[in-house]
Amino acid sequence: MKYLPLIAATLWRRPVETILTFLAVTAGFMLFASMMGLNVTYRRAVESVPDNRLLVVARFPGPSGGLPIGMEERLRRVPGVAAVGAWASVCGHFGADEKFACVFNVDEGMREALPFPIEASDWKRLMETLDGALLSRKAAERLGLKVGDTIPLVVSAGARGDGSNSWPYQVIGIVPESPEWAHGYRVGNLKYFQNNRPLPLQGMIGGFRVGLSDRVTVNEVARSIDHYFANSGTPTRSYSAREEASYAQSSIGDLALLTRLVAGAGLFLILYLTANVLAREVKERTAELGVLQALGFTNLQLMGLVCAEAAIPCVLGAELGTGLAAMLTSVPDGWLPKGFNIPEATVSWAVFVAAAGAAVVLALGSSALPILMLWRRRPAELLAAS
Amino acid sequence: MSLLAQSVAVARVNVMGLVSRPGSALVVVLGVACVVGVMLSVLSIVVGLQLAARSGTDPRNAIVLATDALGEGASQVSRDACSTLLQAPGLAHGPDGRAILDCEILQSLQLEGFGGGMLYVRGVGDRASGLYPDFKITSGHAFRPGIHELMVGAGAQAIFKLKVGDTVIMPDGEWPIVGSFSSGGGMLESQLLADGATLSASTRGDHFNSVLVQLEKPDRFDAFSGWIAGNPALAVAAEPQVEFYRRSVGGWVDFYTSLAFFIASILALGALLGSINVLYGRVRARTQEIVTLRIFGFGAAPIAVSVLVEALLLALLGALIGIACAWLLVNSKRSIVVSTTFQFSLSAHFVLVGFAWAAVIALAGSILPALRAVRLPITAGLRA
Repeated sequence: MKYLPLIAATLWRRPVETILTFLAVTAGFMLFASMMGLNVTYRRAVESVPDNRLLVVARFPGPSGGLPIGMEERLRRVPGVAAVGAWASVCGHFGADEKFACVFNVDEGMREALPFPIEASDWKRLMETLDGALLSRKAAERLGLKVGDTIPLVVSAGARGDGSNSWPYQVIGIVPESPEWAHGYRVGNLKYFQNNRPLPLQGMIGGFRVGLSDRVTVNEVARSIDHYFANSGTPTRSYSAREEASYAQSSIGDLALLTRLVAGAGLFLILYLTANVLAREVKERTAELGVLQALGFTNLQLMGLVCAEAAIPCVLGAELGTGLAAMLTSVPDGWLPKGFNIPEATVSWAVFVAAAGAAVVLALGSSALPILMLWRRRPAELLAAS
Repeated sequence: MSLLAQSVAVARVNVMGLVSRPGSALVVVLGVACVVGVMLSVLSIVVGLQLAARSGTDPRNAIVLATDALGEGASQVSRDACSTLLQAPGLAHGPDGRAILDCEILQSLQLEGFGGGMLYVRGVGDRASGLYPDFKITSGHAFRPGIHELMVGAGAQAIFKLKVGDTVIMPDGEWPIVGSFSSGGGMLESQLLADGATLSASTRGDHFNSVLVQLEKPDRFDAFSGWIAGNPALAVAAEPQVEFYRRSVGGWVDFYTSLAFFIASILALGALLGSINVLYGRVRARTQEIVTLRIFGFGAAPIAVSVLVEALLLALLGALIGIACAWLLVNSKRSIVVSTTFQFSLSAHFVLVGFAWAAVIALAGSILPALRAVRLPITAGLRA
């Protein structure tokens, strides 16, 4: 602590350069933290999905739907299956600005197969109201809807039995968020979907969510379901819900490679910049360091001073950059095409800690060469260098 | 000595001095290389998607989908509508006098162990060859009507690791891949091709997904779509094929373009601040040299110009390195976005944008150091 004034004086000797270094580090870490945040969020989104749930969809899905609802009872009897829920989505747009929305229509079994954070009373009301829809807070805000509003979804021709293109839903409640739907969710009643499909398609649904008992492995049950229905009219493809969550990430291209490339470029930029500035500073102050050495400062103390001079702008810049990244995370999310359940980056405390750690490593790396130069020279040599 | 001659002389001395101070010069070069390299790498996705959307099509082609369908996969066009469309005005006709119109089926496949994208099988009829102008069989042979056979596009071949001789599980058994094709890099290359009637029987479908037609001339589109709009019972709508493909990838093109410039802006800010810092240091290191030049009668402007020229040369060198890195790392690599395979591509337009960014960073980064160089007091400079 007693050397703090000395370090502060050194840093403030050339305030413009110090501020420029600090700002460059801030910019670099802003990018680094954004990319780290994106990676952390994706990893978390995949890991947060319980690994005891399955998705069962048609192996050859068509526009008319996927699987017959009659499969539900048979699925319940597969060893290891604890709960089965059927679903079918209705997607379309509504309003003058053509807002895009999908309603996830579910049956009673979904209460157990894919637990939503919905109160029993709200769930009961949904099951009793054919054209009812429950919206999570985020979904309601995004679509500008409140309880009592109608969502007049315009759907593809041929989707409804009565020949119309409009599929209206009544908002009957606003419910809490579920971590599985990063941008909120809309749940409807499967009976409403089935009743309004063209006659030949009634009974065809999108697929099933399956909850498993604790003692079975996901792959075993998936294989036995697919094997059982392999020769049916609608062969199935079953996979873990966690696998599905990782699809969302890979569906926007090789994002992991991209984020690593960008984070690497950002970090390289600031590492090289800081190392260069620091080396120049130490070179310019060779004689001053020689005086300190002559006054009795040990090599270790001098190295500590050089490291601290590098670490202060690095750590402060890293934390400010990470803070700015936290504020900016929602920006790229707004550019994503509609309908993709891709979570926005969250800059957690872990990212702040990682950034501070990276900043310290950066400072040590930047000061390595100047320290080596100090280590090799004696006081007389340092003084002579002036 | 004229102002220009002075500027050239000082800039020459300055540039020759770069060799003696390679460390700080590299900061500017590598900083700009990072900005340009990363920006062009992300923008190569944009160019790849745009190329895939506009390649392998004919400007006279139009696609017909169900009204308000969210995409071709979700569209259902009845068999009656397909037959009725033969009477539409503006259709081009082949040498045999038949309209060039193809009712097509799109069947998605869930491939084992592949989660990165969706693979589609497109069922086409005997008129399809006239609708895909760049279609070329690259190996094997075409599928035969009525036989369970598939052809694989170059994009699907690369991304899904499918080749001639492999089999694909279809609703009624395994179908062999008997040939591969290219389509000028277009969207068709992302898919498998099969005989439409055979595929329809296999999937037991009673609808088509889309109808692809060729018009006599592109300007006949209004007459064609007007006729469709006048027959609401068909429940279909038409769109130029190129426009439909452009719209299909449009969201992703906007996303990656915004992302590229967002990332590049932050990186450029870092490179800019780094450049200012480095150029300040270089001006300080050259204090005596600059002051001596002023004593010899060199004006302030040539000295300022020399700082700008130095930064510009370093930045352009950095841009070249960035472009070369992007070229080596990503150019021509294949990837997939949802169901569209594409090749990362660098375009001349975005390479110029990269150079422009480099120039802006250099100029913005050198203005303050150049002003400092100009304002150096001669007496104080000599004492430095």
